[in-house]
Amino acid sequence: MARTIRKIVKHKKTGPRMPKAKAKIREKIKPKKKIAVKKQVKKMAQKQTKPAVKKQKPAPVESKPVVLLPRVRRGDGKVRACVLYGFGINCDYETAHAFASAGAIGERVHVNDLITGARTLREFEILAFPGGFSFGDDLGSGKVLANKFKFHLQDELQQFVKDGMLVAGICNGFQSIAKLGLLPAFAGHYKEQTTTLTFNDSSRFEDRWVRLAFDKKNPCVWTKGIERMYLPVRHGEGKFAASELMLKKLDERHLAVAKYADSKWKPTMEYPDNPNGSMHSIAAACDETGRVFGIMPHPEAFTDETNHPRWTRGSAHEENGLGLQVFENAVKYAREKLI
Amino acid sequence: MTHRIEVAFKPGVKDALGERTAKKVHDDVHLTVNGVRTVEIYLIEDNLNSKHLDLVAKEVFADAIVNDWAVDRPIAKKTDFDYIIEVGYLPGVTDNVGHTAKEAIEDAIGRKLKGGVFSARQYLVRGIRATAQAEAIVKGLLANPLIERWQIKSSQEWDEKRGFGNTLPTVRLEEQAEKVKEVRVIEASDDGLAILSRNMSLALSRDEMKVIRDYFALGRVRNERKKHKLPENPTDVELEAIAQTWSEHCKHKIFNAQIEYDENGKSRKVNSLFKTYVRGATAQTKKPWLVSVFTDNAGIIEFNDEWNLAVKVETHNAPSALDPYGGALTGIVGVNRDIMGAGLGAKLLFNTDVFCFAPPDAKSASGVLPPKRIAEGVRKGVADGGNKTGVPTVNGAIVFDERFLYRPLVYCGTGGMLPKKAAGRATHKKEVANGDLIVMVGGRIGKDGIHGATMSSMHIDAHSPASAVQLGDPITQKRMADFLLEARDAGLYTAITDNGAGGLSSSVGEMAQLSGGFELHLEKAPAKYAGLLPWEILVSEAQERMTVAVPPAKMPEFEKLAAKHGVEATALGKFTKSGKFHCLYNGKTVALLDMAFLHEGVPQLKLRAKWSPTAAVEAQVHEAGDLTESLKKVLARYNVCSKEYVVRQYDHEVQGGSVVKPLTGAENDGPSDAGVLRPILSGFGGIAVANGICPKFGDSDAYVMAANAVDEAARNCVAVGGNIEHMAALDNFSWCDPLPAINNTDAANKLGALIRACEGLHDACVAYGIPLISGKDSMKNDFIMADGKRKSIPPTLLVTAVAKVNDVRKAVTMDVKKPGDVVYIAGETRNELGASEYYAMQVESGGKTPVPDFKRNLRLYKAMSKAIAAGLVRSCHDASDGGLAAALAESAFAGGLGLKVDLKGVPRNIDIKNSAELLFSESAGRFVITVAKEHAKEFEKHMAGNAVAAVGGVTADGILEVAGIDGSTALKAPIAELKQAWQGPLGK
Repeated sequence: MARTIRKIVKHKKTGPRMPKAKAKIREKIKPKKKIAVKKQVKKMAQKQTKPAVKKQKPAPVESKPVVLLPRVRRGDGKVRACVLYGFGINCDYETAHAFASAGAIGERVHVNDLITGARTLREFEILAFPGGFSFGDDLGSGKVLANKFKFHLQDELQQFVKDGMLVAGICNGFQSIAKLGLLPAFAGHYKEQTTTLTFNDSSRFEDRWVRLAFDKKNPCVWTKGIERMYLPVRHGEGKFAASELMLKKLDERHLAVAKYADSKWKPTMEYPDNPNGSMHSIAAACDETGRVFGIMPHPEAFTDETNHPRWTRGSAHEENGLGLQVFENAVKYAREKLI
Repeated sequence: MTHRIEVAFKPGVKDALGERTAKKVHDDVHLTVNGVRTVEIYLIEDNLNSKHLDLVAKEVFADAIVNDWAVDRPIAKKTDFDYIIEVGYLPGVTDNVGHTAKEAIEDAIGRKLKGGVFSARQYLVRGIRATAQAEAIVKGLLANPLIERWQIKSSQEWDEKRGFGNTLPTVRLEEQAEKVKEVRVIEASDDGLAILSRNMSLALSRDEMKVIRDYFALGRVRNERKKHKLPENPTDVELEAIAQTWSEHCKHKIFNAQIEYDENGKSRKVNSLFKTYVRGATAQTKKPWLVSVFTDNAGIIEFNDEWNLAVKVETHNAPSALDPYGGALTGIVGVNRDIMGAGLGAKLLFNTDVFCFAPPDAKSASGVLPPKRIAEGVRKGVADGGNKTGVPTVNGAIVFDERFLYRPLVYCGTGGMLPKKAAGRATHKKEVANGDLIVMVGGRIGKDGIHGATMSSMHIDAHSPASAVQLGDPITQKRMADFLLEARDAGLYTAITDNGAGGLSSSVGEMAQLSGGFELHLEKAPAKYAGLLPWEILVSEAQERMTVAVPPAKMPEFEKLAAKHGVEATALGKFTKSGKFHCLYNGKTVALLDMAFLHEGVPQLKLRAKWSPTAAVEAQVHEAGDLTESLKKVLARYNVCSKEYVVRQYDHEVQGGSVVKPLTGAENDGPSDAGVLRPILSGFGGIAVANGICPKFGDSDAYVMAANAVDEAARNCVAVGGNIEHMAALDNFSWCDPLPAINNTDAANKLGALIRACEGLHDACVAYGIPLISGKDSMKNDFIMADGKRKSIPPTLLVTAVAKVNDVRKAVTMDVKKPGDVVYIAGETRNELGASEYYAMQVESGGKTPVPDFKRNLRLYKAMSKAIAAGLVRSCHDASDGGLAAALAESAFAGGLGLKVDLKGVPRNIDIKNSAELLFSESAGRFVITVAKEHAKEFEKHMAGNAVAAVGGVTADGILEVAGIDGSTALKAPIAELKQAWQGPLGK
């Protein structure tokens, strides 16, 4: 289906949500060949908006030529969430289920289907990088998946973010989007990695439920109205790390969305309440727009009361409800603002 | 040319792995070091320009926030260490990091690499002074010589420009002039045949070799071979194929043997243990929800109107003894493939893990790895296998016994969900038509894992081949699993099975029974490296491979889907109806065997067994008065204590359907009896999973061990809300070798014990109405020491039970919930302290071991199932190791509340003389239950006709207080103290 859509729209030069800089430039060029145009557009756009880091841009053979195209609108009033899978991502089913429970269409989409162009992000309002072990955590968790996007889908991803759509990275997905630089992305530098998730101080994988205290002034679309939450972490590389300067900035701007908390719901550095030694106790972060959200614990693992480790003790609601709220927030925002 | 990229943590950044390594050097190698830092090494076999190298170092390997990196020079400086150790893999060993690195580099530079990428790790150690110390660290902790290689240098020796140099572990095999050998069988004498079998590691008996000789001497066979230009004698390809197919591992010859059984002086015949006791039990249960049992890779039962559940449990004992990490990892991804190959392929839902180890503080023996290292390696292997493939590990057990020092047992189980229909077809049936393509999917073939099936049918000795050890690749398998589910739902194949023991020889051979023959072109199989011989290709057990039957018309679509998932799929030939097992190599026939001969030709074993009961030695408990100290000691025994350290490192809730987790209670650290999960997230139907294993009860009579194992598994399922009427079980035997040999003089007794165990299993399953749906036997768990002496494991039967939970919202956990709740004890306690934890602690032997009363227990379990389904039960905990005392203590501290209990009312037999016997006896069929006061009457009504008594209440004071039979205080301690004792030995 996506292919036909591409055919229909491919002669159009600009899309409604195309970044202004690029759209303007595009108008100036009267192209013969699309790829050449794309390169020119990119070059000139980079000149106008300051690029984050200078990057070599290899052109892998299998990748589709990236063309800036308008978003696909189906007009059925449905929010669509693209839930990535493949290469060892493994929380895709329950993440899709969480979006569905929140009222969206949660669709599992193979990363390679995006790379080959069989599918496109333009069909979706929400993009989720689910948890799992993409590429077995070899070479650093989330890293190789991040590079798949960096080297094959960077333009499409950047357009998606600039179009105002929502992105979430959960656990392994957070690791990926941090390494991609999608957050905190100060000054709109969505390609520059400034934070990371590295090995737990305990040097081991752990499955353990943790308390999260949310920054009351955080701008995150995904966590609106949430003050506390109780969720499981299941990772070996979840220690949030960045320079002191960066950490300070995150705190000042309320972008450190959620922090590991002790039994009094105060941020803590004590193990095991802070399960991995995360700097400034950071468990979740977002970009300045609040639309790109990364979280180490798993909200999709708590979509039903019976997921709570103490539900048989009647404790399932004592910490302010299900992880499902995160998905409900996103879907509500998307329904109101993006479709 | 080879490039080398090194990545280290920036100075000041915590190196958690290094720190942990330093701690382990101290704990396990008993050396104190001044710190360890680690460096990741990548060797790239290709020529890259400096621009690409920088890109690769920075974008692929390093994390700019925490890492430094170096290209083509060592990052380590002389001043960084006293000794530097580099550990990498031996040639041909699976290097998962290397494989990922190759793909990642190709993504970055936009082209394929010419060669491979190989990973290694450096350890920069401070505070040691001698090369011998560095060697001790390597051998004791960092490397396994069966799969890894290493280099050591002191800081004086270190060349900061050259480092260790770039020797790649590439496999180079000499091209053999003669690829297929004729093996002279027809003219060989009987002795000659036996020698041949041994020299070729075929593990075939003299009788079996004689049957093979007779087959090749047949005129019909000779004529056919001439037509195909085959030699008169079998080729090595043919002999290897027969050996794999006829191996104990594949054919279960002992379980199908004809046995002359002398039971207590009376002689009788048992014709096939499997048919008599295992399949026999299932037939008698007559459950309508059985879908497919004993015919497929796994047992399949109905879950609801739309879904079936497939379950399989396997042993992976031999490989885990050699390389605990690789063995266990391969075990879990291996049993996963059984589920992926059940019916038309099920989606993985859960894993279970059960280990038998020597106690971690047991003295290690020569020729085997230290018990602690085995335990740690196995734990990590199962964790990686489950965590990385997204399958939750929901239940398990660890049994400690000194006799597992020479041979640990590793049981890996998996369940999966199968929609009843996919692409319009019933999914529990496989079909193969004449002309369908034989397609191999997933990993490539190498020398690794050659002779796995025959090896597990032989004994391990000090010279076992390294090729028997493999490392699994969970990510290749995960990709394949994603791919196959989509291919199934698109109707692109009609049959599937995994490549496990016996490799292609077994998988294709088995599937071809559905069409009646096959034609396999061995040279088409993708290999990891050049130079494999035809027979090696046929029997290699290289991991992560499935074989599927694809109708030719569907092949293009199948290949397209495989490409999308980055999975290799190759047609190797076709299924036929020729009646022949037919292999070719470059167009020339290299194997041609009658399917009928291969699959039915193996002669039935004829064995002798004997058993006579030993009278229980009378034993008495004399301990009187306060038993609190004894309770603490019991709680701290390895078989009772907290296993949180292990469980915490398993993902037990991925897939989002976790209902009862392995750790539960007020602080999420109490021991659950069983796992409960909700496989279909849109509904509330659930599955309970539990295990029963108690080798300690087998020393007096294996019947008792087996009956208790069934009872324990069933009881645990019932405790969480599993429905006893919809419960199935799987049997896994790990036995000491029951085949006679010069150094195995009591083989007949070992076989006698096996018969007793089968009878116990049968009787319990029939009594409870629990069908056996699948099983496995591992019959060669002996270690032959250098002096030829034999070390045997205790006979061990694992019973894994799965039960339906009608509504997971009614599931129950073992932690007590609210002060004021009424405490009940259900089930009668008898004086059955034989082999109990309490006796083992008292150095007292003897006593009666527990004998489950099937009839009474079944009545209780049915009543409990109903009471729990009616929502009347707040907590329920089964009493097993450590008896009622341990069960009461665990229920209390898991709930963070106290208990006040009076033993006077506890249901008991008259042979119980004192409180110690009542508290520490390990009789089967008992629960500690708490019920809300307002439900007490209703609960008691449900339990009418059972031995159930209200014995006390839950208290808010956090003290476990138990009044003894004689009225004096039997136990009194704050729950925190008891919990501390219980959490002490293995930590958190």
